[in-house]
Amino acid sequence: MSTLTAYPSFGAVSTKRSQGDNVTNAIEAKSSHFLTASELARRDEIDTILALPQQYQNANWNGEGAAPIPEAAIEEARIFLQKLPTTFPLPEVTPEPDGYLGLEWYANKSLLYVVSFDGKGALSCSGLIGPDRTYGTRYMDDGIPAEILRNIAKITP
Amino acid sequence: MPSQSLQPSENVSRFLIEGDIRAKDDSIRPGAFLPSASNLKVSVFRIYELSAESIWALAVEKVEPRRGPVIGRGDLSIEVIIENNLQVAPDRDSLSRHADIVGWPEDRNLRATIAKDLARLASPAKKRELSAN
Repeated sequence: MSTLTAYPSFGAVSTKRSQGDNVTNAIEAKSSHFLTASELARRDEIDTILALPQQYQNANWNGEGAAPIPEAAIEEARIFLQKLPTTFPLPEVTPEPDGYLGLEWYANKSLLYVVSFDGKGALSCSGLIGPDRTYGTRYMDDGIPAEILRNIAKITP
Repeated sequence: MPSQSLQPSENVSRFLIEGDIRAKDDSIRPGAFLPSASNLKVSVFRIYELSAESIWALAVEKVEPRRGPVIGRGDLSIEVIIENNLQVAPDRDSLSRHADIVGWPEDRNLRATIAKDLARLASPAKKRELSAN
């Protein structure tokens, strides 16, 4: 039984672990061997910010018909953050009522940028950069699109 | 309670729950103004001629039973909502003071951007002072 689910833009994402655990653990252990202490700490931070309270995976979590945040969206966000250069600060994680999981870089109410995930492979991007609005759908192929990195850089010092 | 037709200068309140306000600067998170995809409506209340105390009483009566504790609100004029190419649709029973922000675009990314603008315009949040009792 396969334990991997393919997503169009994110490659193979492990969503459930059963008989493949030993193999997966071995691969992770091997790859972890090459991570520096700061990279491991970063991964821990990513895991921490993505640990959403269970309530957000239930329908109507805001009392106004919000869609649940799918596990696949959390996994996409994890892959995105693991690919994000460590020179960029980690964002705040914000569940959104339409079932997206947002990663928000915020400087002030007029300078913010959000990359949102719905577990279907696309990146829903939107932001206010001073007087300008920026928005659009992007995809991760080999990595995070340069435009997204440029926009995050405009928000972060 | 008198009713009145919608005026561009009239303010509406979006009541805010846990997670809607940033502790850093009391600004409102955009998710507070982002509609669910299932109905594309954002629920607000008309607050003309109401004291602050009466506005919070409205939250307790009409919002908390469904959404849980209201911790604050963001006020917007109808004019700025219209400037964002949205409309305000009041309930038929105007005494309810309830209305929906409707007319959201199909494009999810644009919706999310408009929500950011509305959150910006409504910030900082007016926080509700909850008594210890």
